[in-house]
Order: sequence, then C-alpha cells, then structure tokens
Amino acid sequence: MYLKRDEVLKRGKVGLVVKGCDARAVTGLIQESQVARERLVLIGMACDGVGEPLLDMCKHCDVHTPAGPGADAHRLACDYVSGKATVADAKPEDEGWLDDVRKIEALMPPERWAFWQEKLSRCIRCYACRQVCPLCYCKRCLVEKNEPQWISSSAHEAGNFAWNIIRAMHLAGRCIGCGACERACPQDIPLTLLNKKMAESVARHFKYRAGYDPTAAPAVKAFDKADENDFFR
Amino acid sequence: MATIITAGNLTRLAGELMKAGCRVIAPAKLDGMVVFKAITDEHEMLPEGEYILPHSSFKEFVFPRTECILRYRLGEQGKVSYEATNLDAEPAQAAIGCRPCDAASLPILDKVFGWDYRDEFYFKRREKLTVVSIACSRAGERCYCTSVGCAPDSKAGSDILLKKTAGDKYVVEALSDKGRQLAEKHASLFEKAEGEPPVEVVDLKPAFDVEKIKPWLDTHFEDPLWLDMAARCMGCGTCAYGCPTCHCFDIVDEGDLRGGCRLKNWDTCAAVLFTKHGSGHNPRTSQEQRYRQRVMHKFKYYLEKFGLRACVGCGRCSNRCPVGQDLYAVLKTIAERAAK
Amino acid sequence: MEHKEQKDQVSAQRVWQPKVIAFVCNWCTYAGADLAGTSRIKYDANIRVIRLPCTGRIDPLFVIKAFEQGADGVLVSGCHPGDCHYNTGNYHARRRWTLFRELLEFVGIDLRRVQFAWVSAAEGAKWAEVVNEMVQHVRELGPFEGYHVMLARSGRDAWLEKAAAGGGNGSGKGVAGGTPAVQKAE
Ligand code: SF4
Ligand code: SF4
Ligand code: SF4
Ligand code: SF4
Ligand code: SF4
Ligand code: FES
Repeated sequence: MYLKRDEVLKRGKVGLVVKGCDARAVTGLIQESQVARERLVLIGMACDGVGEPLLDMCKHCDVHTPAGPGADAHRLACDYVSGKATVADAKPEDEGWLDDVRKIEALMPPERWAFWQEKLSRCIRCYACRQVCPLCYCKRCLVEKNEPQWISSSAHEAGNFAWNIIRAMHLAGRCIGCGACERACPQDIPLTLLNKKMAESVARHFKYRAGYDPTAAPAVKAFDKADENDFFR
Repeated sequence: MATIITAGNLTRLAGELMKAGCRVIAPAKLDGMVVFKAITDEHEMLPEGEYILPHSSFKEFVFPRTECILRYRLGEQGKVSYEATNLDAEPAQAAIGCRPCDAASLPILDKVFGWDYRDEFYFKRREKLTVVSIACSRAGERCYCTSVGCAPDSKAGSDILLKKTAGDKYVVEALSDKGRQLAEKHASLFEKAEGEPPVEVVDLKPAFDVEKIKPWLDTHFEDPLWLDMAARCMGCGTCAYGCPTCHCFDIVDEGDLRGGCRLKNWDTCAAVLFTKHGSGHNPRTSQEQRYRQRVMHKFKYYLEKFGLRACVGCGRCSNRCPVGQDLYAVLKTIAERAAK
Repeated sequence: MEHKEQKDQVSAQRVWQPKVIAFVCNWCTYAGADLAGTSRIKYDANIRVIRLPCTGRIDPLFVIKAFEQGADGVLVSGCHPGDCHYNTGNYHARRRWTLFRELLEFVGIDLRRVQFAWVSAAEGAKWAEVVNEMVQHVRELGPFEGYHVMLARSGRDAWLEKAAAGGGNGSGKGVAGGTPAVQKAE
C-alpha cells in the first residue's frame, strides 16, 4: 500500500521484503499494471504464519514459502528467498477457510439481512479498510467522486451499505485474502466474510484465485464465452 | 462527611434515569469491544472493573458521526422550502462510567464549537448531557493523560466524579449544578460516610515534559523529523474518529431534484480530500504534512487560540491506528529533541 | 425483510405499486422495448427504463442507486451473448453480475428483486414477457421494506415518501425525478 506513493516512486527501485501472501499482493499489482516487476527487488521470506493466536488466513495459507529465482512463469519469482517454511501448504480444495461464510449462507435471507444491517451500521467511514488494502490503490476512490456523489459519504445506514457492498464488489476476484481490512477496521466489521464470499464465487465460477499467476488476466477483466449464463432469461 | 455510592446503586441510577426518559450512555459490550452505547437495560452497563477505556469516545452523543441539520424541498419554479432540524425534543442524556479524560474533552470541544459561531447542534446535545465519570484506579498501556496535562482524576468536564474506595463503593464529588441536581433527585441511592474514605487513583508519571512541545513546534514546521515520524501514516480516519477532541466535519447535501438533507459528517485532516481546493490545488500534498497538521493543531494552534491543548492523552489514536502510528512516541521524540 | 405491518405505513393510504427500474443497453433491449411499443404489445407499466450504451456500462452501483431511490426491483437487460455492439461488453458484464448477484444474496437480498435478461431488438414480445414476469415477482414480494426502512433511518424518507406519493408511472420512459446521478449516467 505504500508502493504507489509518489514519495516512494520517485526514489527509484524499491526493495521489498515479502512473505508469501505479500507476494500475492505484489502479483496482483503487477497483473493490474500498477507496478513493474523491474522496479522491485523482492526478498522472499518463508513464513509459518503470524498472529497470536494464528490468524485464520495463515491456517489456510498455501504460499508459506515464496517462489524464488527459476520458478515457473506462473508464479511471481522473488530475487532472493530466505528459509523454508516448516508447515505444509494448505490444499486448494481445503474448504475449512469457508466455514464462517457457510454459517452465514445457512441463515434465512431476512436473518442475513439483519446480520449485515447491524454490522454495517457500525461503519464510521474512516476508510481504514481501503487505506490498508494492497489492492485499493485508486488515486481517487469512487466514494470520493463527488460530482455527483456516487456513494454517499455519510455514515448512515444507507451510505454504509452502499459503501461496503461496492468496496467488496471492487475487490471481487482481486482480494488476496490478507485480512488487513478487517484487522484495520476499528468497528469490528467482519469484512473478510464479504471478501471470502467473493473469492469463493470467483473460484467456483471462473476457476480463478487472485494473486497467484502474474501472467493471468484478473477474473473480472477476463471473460469466457462459456461463462455461466443460466441466470439470464 | 463524604457521599458514597455503591456499584449496585450506580447501576440502579442508570435504571432510574432510563425510566425517567433519559438516554443513558454507558460502557457496554459490542462483540469483542467495549463501546459507549445508549443502553436500554441498566445491566448492559459494564462494571467499572471490566474496562479501562471504552474503544471509542462518547463524542458521538454530542457530535454524531452523521447528522441531518436541515431538510429541503425543491418546489415549482425553483422555490425552495426548508426545515431545520430541531433538537429541542431530544431527550436528556447522561454518560455514566466514562473516564476523566473523556469528560475533559468536553470543555475542549466547547471552545471550538462556541467560538465565532455557536454550533446549536453541538450545544443542544451538550446541554442535555450530564457526565458521571469514574477516576481511574488502573491505567492502560497507552494512557498518557498526565503527560499532556490531564489526569486520571481530572475534574474537567465532569458533573459528578466518582473515586473508587473499598468495598465496591465510590466516593461522590458533585462538581456542577447539573451534578448536584442529579444527586439530589436520586438521593436515595447515595449514602453518607464519616470522614474522608481513602480513594484509589492510579499514579501515572508523566513520560515527557509537554511544555517543551509547543516551542519546538513553533520553530519546526519544516523538519526532516516529520518524514521519519509520520511516513507510515496512511491517511485513514481511525485516529480522528476515535479521538474525543477531534471535531472536524464536512457539510454535504444529499438529495435529488425533489429535495434532500443537508448533513454534517465527521471529517479528518488525514484524508487527501480534506484540503483539496475546488481548483484542484492541494496545499498538503503528502501524508507527513497531513500528520504534521494533526500534531500542530492539537499542540500548537489550539493552544494559541483557546489556551487548551486538543488532546487529553487517552491514547486511542495510538491504540487504534492500523499501522501503529503512535502519537505518544511522536510527542516523546519531540520533547526529547527539544530538550537537547 | 418483509414486515407486513410496516408495509401499510410506507404505502400510507394508497395502493402500493411495485417500482421496478430497468437498466438496458441502447442497441438491443431498448430497441426491443421500442418494438414492443410500436407493435402495441401491452406490458406492465410499473417498469421505468433507463437506457445505457451497453450492459458493460451498467455499474453494480446503479442497482444500489435504484434501491436508494426507492425501487422495489431492478431489471438488467442487453444484447444476447455474441451480439454486443461493442463486441464483448456483455461478456464482461456477465462476469460482474455473476458475482454481484451472489454478493447481494449473501447480504440477504432476495434475488427475485434483481433479475437479468438478454433481449434483442427483434424480441419485443420477449421484452413484454420479461417485464411482466419481473413485475409479478416484485408484486408478490411486496415493497422492499428492508431497504426502505434503512433509507428512512438514514433520513432519506422525506423526499422518498413524496416521490412515492406523486410518482405517476404510466409513461414507461425514464425515471420520474431520478437522481441527477442516474440521469448523468445515461
Ligand atoms: S483481505 Fe481486505 S485488505 Fe486484503 S486484499 Fe482483500 S480486501 Fe484488501
Ligand atoms: S473501493 Fe474501489 S474505487 Fe475505492 S480504492 Fe478500492 S478499488 Fe478503488
Ligand atoms: S474500516 Fe470499518 S469502519 Fe472504517 S470505513 Fe472500513 S468498514 Fe467502515
Ligand atoms: S495515524 Fe494511523 S489512524 Fe491516524 S490517519 Fe494515520 S494511519 Fe490512520
Ligand atoms: S489525540 Fe489521541 S491521545 Fe489525544 S485525545 Fe485524541 S485520541 Fe486521545
Ligand atoms: S451493446 Fe448491448 S450489451 Fe453491449
């Protein structure tokens, strides 16, 4: 999230120490042409997981050791890699990370609505979620477009609903699941639930997971003629 | 002779007030957080031993995060009719169990909201508010009230100040007419005790000399130190929106061809858009300049204009910052520099 | 979401009529709707059509905007896959909608309120069918109380009420008093 700042950019080449998940964020930025690989010197660090207790995302991490020089073109290759993780990578088909999403899905629609109404009503529009997000790099976020004001900037329920839905939508297929937004949120809003739901949809429909392959087109930028069409009349 | 209230009666006081139609604002649980909440049941109020400082300040109840100040309608031939929000019907409110630092933020806010123009929306709510605070017997990791001239038993802004004494009781000190009235009205909940019961107040030593801060700020508007101290700030509203003394707001109209609302929303100097002019020019181009404004405003400009610092040392900004930007550390660095 | 008691309050003293907004692309569906008109095919008048160049230009935010203006349902329609006049606009849109639908469902919105169709310039009859069916669904669901309550709590009720009371809906063209935001997008 500091990578795109003018202060940083004008200093030339940037050295960056990355864990596997950070490498996914950088991959996303490269895929979206936000930073050129040549401008970075990447130092990969093996990581067994962080947080006390271990963060949920780390339990389901499948990039404990970043890829180093000589990795195949479909992984972001760091210039140096230090160490090797001692824990095994999660399997892609590991569904455990979706447990909390499934719990919400199991609710009746009015209960889901009530759940989100309560959670989102807390939002104070500090935009910490956006500021810490590695993929929310817009110089001027949609919520700051005020001619006309596209998304109400007021922290009332309607404004908060619009903001949080659109934020989640903008990160669909791009969010690398780092969870920074939720950790930053001072109001304890479970933003990760929304992000995970979108990641799950993207994986199910488009067989795509964000931040793995620097050569791939991001899910919502690409399309396939054979994409799901059933919900259209 | 001292006046005493038991913890049980404090809860009862909350109940009686609610019954009388008063909005009671008290520390209560919300998921994993302790927040100030307009409670609906007196047992929602947490016992004082279970929290040090609620997660966010109670300024929301005098200065809401968003507030409609008038409604307008656009009629035929450009005719505009409007109706200002009338807060006379707002209920009386009482904040029970807040800390002296939160209470001390009120006289600070009074200054800016009552200076050249009297902000009715703030003052109507403020006048209806009675503050019953409890002096701290413990301090949090990032509490530094004493370093910025406030105190764990500060009287500023409180109508009643309670101090912990033996046996889950509090010594009561009514500090204002509002406080005395409240104590009289609910006299049956208070008891008398002989002499001066010993009270527990945490002894928090100042960590730096706050008097050194302003002289340094006076002469160091431009200083490489700002980049070091503030480059990590990423410009969200977390610190300002949690701060009891931050008071900036934005006025926006929300509506369409038929009419709408004019709203007063919290705003923050950390945001890029905060100082962006209509011309597109932005006098604060980088994040460290914006953070510098935060420090300057609180420890220099406010002091010059109103004779008070706009910080009570509650430590919320440090606690809540997602990237660990720590005002306490910044102030300490400045004080050390200034001492050299 | 649908509180029966409140239903009566919001629709105070008038028979509630569903308000359905349709975002359509200029080249296919709009022409299809036109054809329905010139062929004198009757369809439900509770739909208000907003024309955009292509489904690719229909931002998910428009759906939220429509609900903010008190819509009870939103219909999105454009050229059939392969027929987009900008070649791939509807393929891109389809991906977005696939995700957006699931997001809305996840936060508790009934997907009968947000529907999608491909209607070509030649399908006037299909247009009428799609509209009738959509309006019928929304009629069964009733007003979108969940959203209306949220708007009311956000101070949006004042002029929403007035609009609902005065909102004639026979023209089938454009949103009566839509926001400047939505109009600019046309
Ligand atoms: S988890 Fe949150 S912060 Fe991380 S990429 Fe996703 S949206 Fe951004
Ligand atoms: S929410 Fe959307 S518009 Fe705003 S910064 Fe993130 S991606 Fe950009
Ligand atoms: S961090 Fe939380 S409170 Fe702040 S804008 Fe994001 S969702 Fe809202
Ligand atoms: S200091 Fe921290 S909380 Fe405050 S604006 Fe900067 S990043 Fe946000
Ligand atoms: S600046 Fe920080 S420590 Fe000072 S009153 Fe505000 S939140 Fe508390
Ligand atoms: S022009 Fe009709 S969908 Fe693109």
